[in-house]
Amino acid sequence: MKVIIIGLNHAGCAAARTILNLGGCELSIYDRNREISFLSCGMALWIGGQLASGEGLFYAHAKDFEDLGAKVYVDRGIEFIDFDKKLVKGLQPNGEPFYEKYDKLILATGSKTRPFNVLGADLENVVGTKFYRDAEKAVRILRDPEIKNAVVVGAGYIGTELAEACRRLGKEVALIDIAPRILYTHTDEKFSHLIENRLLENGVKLQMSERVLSFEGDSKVRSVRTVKGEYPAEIVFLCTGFEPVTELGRGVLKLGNQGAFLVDRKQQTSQKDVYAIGDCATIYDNSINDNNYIALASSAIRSGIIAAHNVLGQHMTSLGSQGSSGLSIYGMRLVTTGLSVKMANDRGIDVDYVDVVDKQLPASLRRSDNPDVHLRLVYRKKDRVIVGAQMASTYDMSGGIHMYSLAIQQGLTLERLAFLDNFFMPQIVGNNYYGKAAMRACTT
Amino acid sequence: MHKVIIVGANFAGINAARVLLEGGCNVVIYERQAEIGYMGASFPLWVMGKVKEREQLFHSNIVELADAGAKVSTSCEVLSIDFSAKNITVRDKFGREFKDDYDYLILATGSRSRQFPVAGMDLDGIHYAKFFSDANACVQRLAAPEVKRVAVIGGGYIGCELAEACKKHGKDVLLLETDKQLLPTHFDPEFAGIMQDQLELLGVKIHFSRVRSFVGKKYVEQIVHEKGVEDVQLVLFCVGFYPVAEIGDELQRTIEGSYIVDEHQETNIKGVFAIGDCCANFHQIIGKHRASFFASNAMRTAHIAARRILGRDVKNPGSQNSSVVLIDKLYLGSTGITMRKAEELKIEVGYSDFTGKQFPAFMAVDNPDVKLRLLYRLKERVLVGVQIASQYDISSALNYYSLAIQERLSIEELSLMDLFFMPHFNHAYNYHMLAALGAS
Repeated sequence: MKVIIIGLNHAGCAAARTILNLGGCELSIYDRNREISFLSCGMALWIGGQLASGEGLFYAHAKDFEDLGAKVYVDRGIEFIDFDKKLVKGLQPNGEPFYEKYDKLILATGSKTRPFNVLGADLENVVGTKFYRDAEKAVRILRDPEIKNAVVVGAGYIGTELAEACRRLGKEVALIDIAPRILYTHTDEKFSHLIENRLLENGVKLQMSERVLSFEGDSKVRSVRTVKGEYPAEIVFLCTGFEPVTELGRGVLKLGNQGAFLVDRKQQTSQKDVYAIGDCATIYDNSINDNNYIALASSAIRSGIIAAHNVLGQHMTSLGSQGSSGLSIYGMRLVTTGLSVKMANDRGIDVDYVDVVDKQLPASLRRSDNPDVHLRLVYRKKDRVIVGAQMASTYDMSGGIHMYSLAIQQGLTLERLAFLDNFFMPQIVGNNYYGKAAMRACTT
Repeated sequence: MHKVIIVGANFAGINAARVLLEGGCNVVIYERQAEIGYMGASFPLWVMGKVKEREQLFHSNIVELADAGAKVSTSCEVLSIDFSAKNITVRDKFGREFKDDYDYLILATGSRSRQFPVAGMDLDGIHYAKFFSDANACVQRLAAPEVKRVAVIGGGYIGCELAEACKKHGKDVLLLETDKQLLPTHFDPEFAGIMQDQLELLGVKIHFSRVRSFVGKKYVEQIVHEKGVEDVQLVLFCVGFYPVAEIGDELQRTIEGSYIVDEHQETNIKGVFAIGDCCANFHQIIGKHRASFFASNAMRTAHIAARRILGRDVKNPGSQNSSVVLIDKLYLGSTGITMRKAEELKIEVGYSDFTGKQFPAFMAVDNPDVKLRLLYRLKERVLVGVQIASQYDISSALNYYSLAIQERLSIEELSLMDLFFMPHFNHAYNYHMLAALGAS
């Protein structure tokens, strides 16, 4: 059997490795980029000078897969797929076309920065935030001491991180978003505020509720003009979100949320023997009990493992996702899973929530180093099923969000979670804030 | 307004009282000790000097509860219960006996240190690690300059913590455990070995040996055990607990003597509840009623009983005995059962071990190893136990596993769980996923 994987980033790598480990088929892999397995979520660390180099942000190389018996073609895009003939077509470096037949095909074509169509978006030093080459370019530009002002457009996760990164390098930084606050889409105000405060304390300017009109400059960008003002910028980061790359399936494969390839729990597309994984595919979202588009490296890896098993005839189904994610800005850690109240409202899901602010350690110990832990549980009013959780603290309590991720996946009610056996140890954790939150919600 | 009598005022009793007071009940509390709300788990912190003031050892006090509307009487012994008349007989600190009526009764009578009948036990300088009075006497004795060497008997959680604490206090420490490993109830030998290495690194001397006797005139001077005789000036007994469940003849008990309760913490007599260390809850994996001497369990059972009395339909989903201990910088956590327990229960289990780093290699931070073991039933492939060890605080993830055991997740489901990834926190291929995949 011949398997072809198109795209060798997190999803593609996971699928390739799994297939090669399980064995029993021929495998060809194509990627249009030279670099594979780039951890773009480490981009801000590199740009902010917290990593010595970008090398560590790769965890796999073409050779790893070749050593296991795959044929790997990087820097070589696939131009066309004939789904009836089960044939992919691409161009060789010399411009000659090549064709390869497959029995099973895995599309891992990923996502790209959403186009941002304003005047001047093509100016030099306007940088994307997706690929290794984007990060490399940003690092190179920022090395120039003449670059004093940075503007980040889009205050989602990556935008917020890049604002911190540029500020760490001593640049004047403005973070601009059309939304009224940062992290607007996925996080409730109480939690985005904690991160905003960190940014403000460290001198990042927040320009919220501002639509960008244009990027100004001759050849290089010089400033960003919005409806409210103009901000000097010798570098601009575009963090305006991602969208799935699905050109190869156009007209044949069914599309779902945000135009991603619609897949089932086995990662199978609408076409027999064709699978889609990672950022180019939909994913079942347990917090809304429906398909969704959630582009996360963690989900991409799992989808790759699942597709690989099914391609080889080994039954494996996705448990779905809760969109669990984490962010750390100037030491403030934010971890979330499932729906925020805002996301639920946007979707017309009737929810209520309970907030708990507690100390990590028992207050009776009167320790000066006793950080606050903020916790919000979001649950459906009609059946009291937990659909979301947000936690923030300077302390690493992030394992707690894994617990909530599991709770949402299982469709647990508040009552089922309220009396879970959570450990207590005064040196580590005082009040059981998990239990407290669920119990408080139980009595309301 | 219901009148609820609570017998015993520690974690269980006090938490029940708080919920009932909020719910508008008339709450009357009787406690045998002179103090209420002593947090026994902070005893090692006191020894180490991390806790300096007496008040820091208490999570509550009489004033707090009285202000909230409870009537609290300490140094009172509850002698008997008349279930048909719904009253109890109490003897106060002056020896006066009286009766008090209840609508609901909550027994939160706690536990005692397991007794250890060896010769010389009555010498001075031999202490248990249960009540405030024990801790107080021990801390005073530790301050005496002639106390240079301490023997800690029992290598469970408290024994290990007190061995560390006494060592950090500046004493020579001998830790004795009769089993072949430390922490035999909660860890397999591979994880117990990590604890042993940690304590030995701190300078604690460990013997896997049984105590025979103590020698001394007024104070203890020597400990005689299977493998030798050594000079010691202070002995701390940490050999476990047994439930205090003496009152109420009509109440059903387990073989170990704990009150048996249902999922609402109610005993076989309606309106009479038992919570905390004195009761036995249904253990999901073991499939029997088992006592648990964890404060976390005490608090949970308190909330369940109190809410039940307030008319809410809450149920105890069962316990996994989730627990974490911190020794120096080593975090060791356990939930569910160990290999040994599985063997005792004749449950066929497999396990998957994985050791990985907390953070990606490119992160410029301390990056300790995390060692993880997942135990699962071979037949159903359902998770039944987890052990985790690291110099990083991985403890919050133990709650995830506790829930996974409660919800009977399979090892395959665990391998595909949505766990977030972010380099500030963890790996894209994190140890949770890899341990689970390793079992497949």
